[in-house]
Amino acid sequence: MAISRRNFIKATAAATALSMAGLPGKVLADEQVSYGRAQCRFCGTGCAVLAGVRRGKVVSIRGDADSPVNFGRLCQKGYSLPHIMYGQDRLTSPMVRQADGSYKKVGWDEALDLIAGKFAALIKTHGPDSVAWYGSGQNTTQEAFAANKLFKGIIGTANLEGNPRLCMASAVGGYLNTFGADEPAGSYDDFEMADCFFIIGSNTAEAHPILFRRVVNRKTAYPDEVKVIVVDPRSNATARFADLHLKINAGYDTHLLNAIAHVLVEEDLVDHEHLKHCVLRKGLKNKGAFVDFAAYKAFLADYAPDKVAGDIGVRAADIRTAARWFGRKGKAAMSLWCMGVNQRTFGVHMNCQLNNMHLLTGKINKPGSDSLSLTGQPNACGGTREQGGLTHLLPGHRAVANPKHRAEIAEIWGVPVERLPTKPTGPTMNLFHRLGTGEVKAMWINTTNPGQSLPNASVHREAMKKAFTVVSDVYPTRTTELASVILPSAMWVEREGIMGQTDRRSQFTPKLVEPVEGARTDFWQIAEISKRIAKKLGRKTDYRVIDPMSGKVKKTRSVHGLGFETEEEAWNEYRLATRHQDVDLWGATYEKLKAHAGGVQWPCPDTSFDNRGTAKRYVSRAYAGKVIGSAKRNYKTGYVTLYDQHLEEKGLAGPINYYGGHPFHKGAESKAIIRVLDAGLDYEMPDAEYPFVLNTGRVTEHWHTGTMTMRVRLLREIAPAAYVEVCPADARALNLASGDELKLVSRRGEIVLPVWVTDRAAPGMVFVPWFDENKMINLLTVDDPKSWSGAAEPDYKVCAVRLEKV
Amino acid sequence: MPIASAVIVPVENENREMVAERLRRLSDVEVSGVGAKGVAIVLEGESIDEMKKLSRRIADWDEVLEFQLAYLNWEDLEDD
Repeated sequence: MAISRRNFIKATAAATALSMAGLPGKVLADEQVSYGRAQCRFCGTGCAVLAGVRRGKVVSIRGDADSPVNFGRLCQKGYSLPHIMYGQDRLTSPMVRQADGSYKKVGWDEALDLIAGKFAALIKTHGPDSVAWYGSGQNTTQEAFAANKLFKGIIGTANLEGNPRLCMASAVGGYLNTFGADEPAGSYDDFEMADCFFIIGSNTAEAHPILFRRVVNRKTAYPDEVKVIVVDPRSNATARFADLHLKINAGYDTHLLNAIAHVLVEEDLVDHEHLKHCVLRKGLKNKGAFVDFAAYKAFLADYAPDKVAGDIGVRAADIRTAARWFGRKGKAAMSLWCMGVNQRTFGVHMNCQLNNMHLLTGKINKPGSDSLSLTGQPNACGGTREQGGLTHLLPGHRAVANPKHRAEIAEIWGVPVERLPTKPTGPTMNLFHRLGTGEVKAMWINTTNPGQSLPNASVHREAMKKAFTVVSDVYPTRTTELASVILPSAMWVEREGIMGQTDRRSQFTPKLVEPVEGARTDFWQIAEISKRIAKKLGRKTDYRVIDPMSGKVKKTRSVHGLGFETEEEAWNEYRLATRHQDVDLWGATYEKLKAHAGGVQWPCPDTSFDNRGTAKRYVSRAYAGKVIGSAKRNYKTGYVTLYDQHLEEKGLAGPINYYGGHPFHKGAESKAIIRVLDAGLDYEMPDAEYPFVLNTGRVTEHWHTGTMTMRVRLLREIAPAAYVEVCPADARALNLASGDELKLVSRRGEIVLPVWVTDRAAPGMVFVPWFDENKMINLLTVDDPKSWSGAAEPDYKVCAVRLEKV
Repeated sequence: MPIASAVIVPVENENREMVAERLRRLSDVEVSGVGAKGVAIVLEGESIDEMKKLSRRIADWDEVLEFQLAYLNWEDLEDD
């Protein structure tokens, strides 16, 4: 009997829901819709979706139940993915700004020739550091690798930064200072085995809802045993779920974390066996002295809960409870954090302090235990941290300033080593400052919206408008309006690419549909510009063919351009750059990435099909068997190891080996470093003139600057505009009611917003989301270098404002 | 006309049947099954707006912990 299209879709819908409800349901074969597995375009969780395509358009979405990340679940942003592609105002033609400020549509060749001509002329006249790239944690790894090669390998400048600097840099600093190696030791699998969740500076329920669902499920299954601790000045959705909400005064996180460490030590919740794998050192990097445990204990005496609880704004007893729950012997603990920790003056310190808690208690390298920094973008880890998309980095966790690393990458790139820059220029905020002074004269901004997202935005908006600025994006934004040239980009499943997420996971997204007419992939744009610039500069690159299984390299010719033409060729060259590094993705072949839901977790040196990499780092196979109970975890397709494949490949001694080779780790070989760090306050705390703290962040409906989610009617209608959260006590004092207009004034700018009186807000602090391009809160936020964390990440979470009722 | 499916997770697991019964009384909802992880339903709406209202209404029920969307299809069904 023929089945109608409507009934067919309903049957498919029912089968999907039945499967998620734990019941058998058979999805019928659909001849009209073809499904492809892709990674969600939004946050850094890395949910796998099955995108249904009919007549060249994405028409349906379901979560991929085979994915070990989301198990078929998606959040409302994930379900909105098709709609982000078909907004009425998609950019479909290159445009060039005219003398009168208007934009003229031009053909691709004209636009590309104009950009390449301008960049090449500036390089010849003013040197390579007169041009720059500002990319994104949303570029695919192939795009980021191609841009890195163009700017560092062909042009020869280290003027290459990306928005992960404003997002994850402090987390990198924390991991490097603690382990000498970036990214976490454990993986998402730990959610299902944790007995305590310590969540700080992260509204996980709204910003990472699928991961929070795993917290909820764990807590719901074991309501008495599992404890959820949330540290946040706001009573947000995450805090409301907590067993213990430490509603601290804004700025006092470092005090709290030292106070918790004090209790862990004082009450001997320390794992002395694990402590043998650690050393203790004062300060960050290599400046301070190594100290012994007694000295650390003495240092922590100043942070006894009774001494600091008043400043922190919570009860001393609650600090003790948090420490006791976290440090319970024989139980697992997982800490989760995000921008509330990273985008802070003491962001690197706080990251180290969180790692300290795990090192002290031995709650790492065990099932359910990990210090897991959540990431905000779908490829901040892959495209920037691992690939080397910042001024001081080269691919595969290498450093621009290291001659050996430069030689290795020049060889892999097929360019003369002399062409590579020998030292970094400056981090993101410094780069935009130099754009403002005219030292940098041209910048290509790709897949990001700094005209809305940079702190103290008005200053940097002026700089972007004055310089020769190229902006590649999919919709008009507050940055395209500043551009000299706008390039319309393909998005999500209009192009193929690989992205890397939070737990060292890389996943493949295939091209499922053609780009909207007129748009081109960013990879193609970079390749075309590279050809043109290289030709004008007379610089050639070896074009090589790499055998994806053996790694054998064969040079075929010299070309003007990148030396690879397809995304797969770029990936294979990048794999080569990671081979034998700690971030080893050599085993992540295209074949594997396409086949395995959930992708591959590095280190994965082995190309054999079933090997999907490493779930637990820093431990030996024998340790995994003894402590974790198994050496591997099997999935529907393939397996991950619960021991570190890099450790085994290099023959490094176990059972635990913190082998990180970063210079910050010098003197601590094979051991992790517990950093002894004084507490401190954010750069711009409130004062008499500006008595309130301004805190900024996300809402669940929108992502980043709203470029995509504001094109989705459903999401736009639920959350149409920014507002300011004010707590009831402050509202009474200021005679404010919900809906009133309130002017927020900082030392850098002002903005008027409608008030929402809510007990989500904390006394003395207001909160404003940053998605609204018409109410740009970053006109007020702070960019002073003194506000930067040790990793040059500015402080978006604490800036001083005064409030004026309008 | 959009078609979606979802899993409705009750606050108390023992209330699954009661939640399912209440769902069955809604005109644009079909209950597909009651499983260990919740009640599987299929929703149809004249528009996304209608579907949004309906899903919010269900999510707001006191006995519902979570409205978990499982599938969403917007394709034009003019051939029906």
